[in-house]
Order: sequence, then C-alpha cells, then structure tokens
Amino acid sequence: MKDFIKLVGILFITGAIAAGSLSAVYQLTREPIAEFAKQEKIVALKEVFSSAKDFKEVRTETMWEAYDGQTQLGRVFLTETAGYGGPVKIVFGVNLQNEITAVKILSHTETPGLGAKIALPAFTAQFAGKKADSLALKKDNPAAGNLDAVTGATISSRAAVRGIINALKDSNNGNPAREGSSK
Amino acid sequence: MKRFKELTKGIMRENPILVIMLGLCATLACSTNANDAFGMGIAFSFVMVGSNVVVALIRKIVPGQIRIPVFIAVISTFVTIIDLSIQAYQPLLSRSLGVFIPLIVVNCIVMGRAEAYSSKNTVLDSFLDGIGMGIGFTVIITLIGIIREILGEGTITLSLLGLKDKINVVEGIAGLINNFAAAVGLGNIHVAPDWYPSVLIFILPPGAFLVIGFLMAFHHRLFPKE
Repeated sequence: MKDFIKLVGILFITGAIAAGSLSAVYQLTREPIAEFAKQEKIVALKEVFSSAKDFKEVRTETMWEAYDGQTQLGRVFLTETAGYGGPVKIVFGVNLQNEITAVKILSHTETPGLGAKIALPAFTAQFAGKKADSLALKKDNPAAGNLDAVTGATISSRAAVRGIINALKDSNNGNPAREGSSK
Repeated sequence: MKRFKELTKGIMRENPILVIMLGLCATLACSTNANDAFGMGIAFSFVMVGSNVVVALIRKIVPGQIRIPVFIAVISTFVTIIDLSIQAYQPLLSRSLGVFIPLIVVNCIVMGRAEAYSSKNTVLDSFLDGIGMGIGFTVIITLIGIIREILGEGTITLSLLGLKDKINVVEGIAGLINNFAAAVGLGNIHVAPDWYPSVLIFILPPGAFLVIGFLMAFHHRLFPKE
C-alpha cells in the first residue's frame, strides 16, 4: 500500500511538472500561432482577389465579399472537396461579371509529383478569367471543356474543378458551401 | 577521450538511422525534400537531448515499475514544446511535417536511448549521447532528403538554412556542361535545361527505402563489423 502511494505520487508530480511547463510554452506561442493563421487567410484572400482592399466575411470561414472602399467587386470562397488522397482546400474569387479572378489550393494531401501539381500555377492559372458557370475539363467534356487536367492526375484535377463548381452552386442555393458529392 | 567517444558514436559507428535502425517511420516520411528532412532532424535532436538529460537527472528517483510512463511523459513534454514552437516560428515547416512532429513521442530511438542509455548513465554522458544521436540523425536524414529531392525533382530546397530559392541541380549541371563545351571549343554540344526526367519513385515512399538501403550498404563498407 505504501509503495502504491509512492508510485502514484511520483507519477502525479511528473504529470504536474509536464503540464506546468507546457502551459508556459503554450502561453508564449499562442499569439504567434493565432497571428499566423489570421495573416495567412488575409494573404490568401488577397492573392485570389488582388484588386480588393477589404474583405467582409459573409459566411463564417467559407465566403467573403470583396470590397474596394464602398464598391463591391465580387466574392471570395473557401471550400473543401474530396481529392484523391484526402481533402483539398481551395480558395478562389469571382468578380461581378461571374468570372473567376484566381484560384489557389490552400492545402491538400495528393500524391507528390502527380496530384500535388494541382497546387502549381501551371494548373491553377488556367482558371483566371473563365466564366464561373463554364468550367469543365477538356478530358471530361471535349466540346465545351476549357481546362487541361494535370497529366496523370485526373482525379485530383476533377476534384479542384468540382470543388469550385459546388461552392458556387451552394452559394446560389443559399446553402453554406460544403464538400461536394462525386458528381 | 572516452567522453569524446560518447559524442561521436551516434554520428557514425552507432548512427541511429543506419546502424540502430530504429524510428525509420519519420525518416521515410519526412525526407521527400532536403528542407523537411533537416527540420525533422532539428526537432528530433531537440527532443533527443532534452529527454536524455532529464531522464538521466531523474534516473535515481524514479522507481523501476513506473519508469516507462515517466519517460513517456518527459519525452512528450519536449515534443509538445518543439511542436508549438515550430507552429509559432516556422509555420510553413509545421505545415509540411504535419503529424510527424507529434509522432516523435513514439519514436523508438528517443525511447530506446532513454531506456538503454540515459537511465543508466550520468547527465553529462547522456547529454553527449543525445547530441551525437541528434547530429547523426540530422545528417543522415538530410542526406536522404537531398538525394531523394535531386533524383525525384532535380532541386534542393533548404530554406531553413537561409537559402531563399531552390537550387536547381538539373539546370546547374546542364549549364556546367554547356559552359565547359563552349570553353573547349565544342560549342555545338548543348544540353537542354530539362534534360533530366524526374524519377517520381524517389519522392514516393519506396524511394526512401531504396536510398536508405544504399546508404546502409555504403556505411557498412566504411565501418565493417568485426
């Protein structure tokens, strides 16, 4: 019994010291971590809608209205869709003429060297200036398609296109942007 | 002199990756490019040294029955410290290493050194052992990262060491050959900058096994066992 109390006591002290030192580190690092998350979002929004100065969050974490002073220039969306290796997070802007301003892949877990190339400008730059309701891969729609898929990564490319289309569809139906189904 | 051996054994003779061969999971997963590999090496070294020193400090107080949970508490505390610090000050590295930083908690080398070495040796020896293991791990994982990145993508990224841009090795070699050809009067020889077709397998998991295997063979040649 005495032994038992000693063991519990030592474990308790170990845990207490660990927890104490960790809470100190947490206090120190909390600010920079939160600051980076905030900065990163603003940078991403600016990157896909460079002409806008302010962004007003319309729907938490998924939709912003882009402003230059008082004039609304368009909207920015953040959406998540199922890729080949996991969720693909996409941020993109649409101006008032319903044209895509730019697309940026925020995070993904696609295959390095294949699907991961959807995050490179060679793929994402194709979207700029395209009508938001006309997006389609040439591979899926030879007649009306206007986007080249990444070689060897059709599923990842499709996911990116589908994510954008679904986010827009949802916003027009008044539903919050959500992960798209497979069609 | 004996002290000095405690430090150097981890670097070559008892290298954690090539000889002890524990904790290869992090080595495989975080060596797809030189920068991630180097970052992983630094994070690992911090945990290694910290846990070795603390385990050696408390080795006489902690009863044998509960040493493993106490060691794990010590290790996971250091891992969480480095994890939060990387998130705060190197957020991009934290993004690309992801879950593999928290996973150092269950890295067998750290646990193995705590159990096999620092729980039986003095603080100073454990500290030197930790430094040696850390250097050995960092050097080899970075080397694996460099080899995999060159073969798989043709570049070297090391932004942690202050190199802003990737070094494009493939273009560099093409440039060297072209300059050399021009200098010796063979101007009609020209190598295109994209002459090298990236070998994708080297940045996929099987490539890590291939590279580690060759490095082990090479190491064995340099330091043959009796």
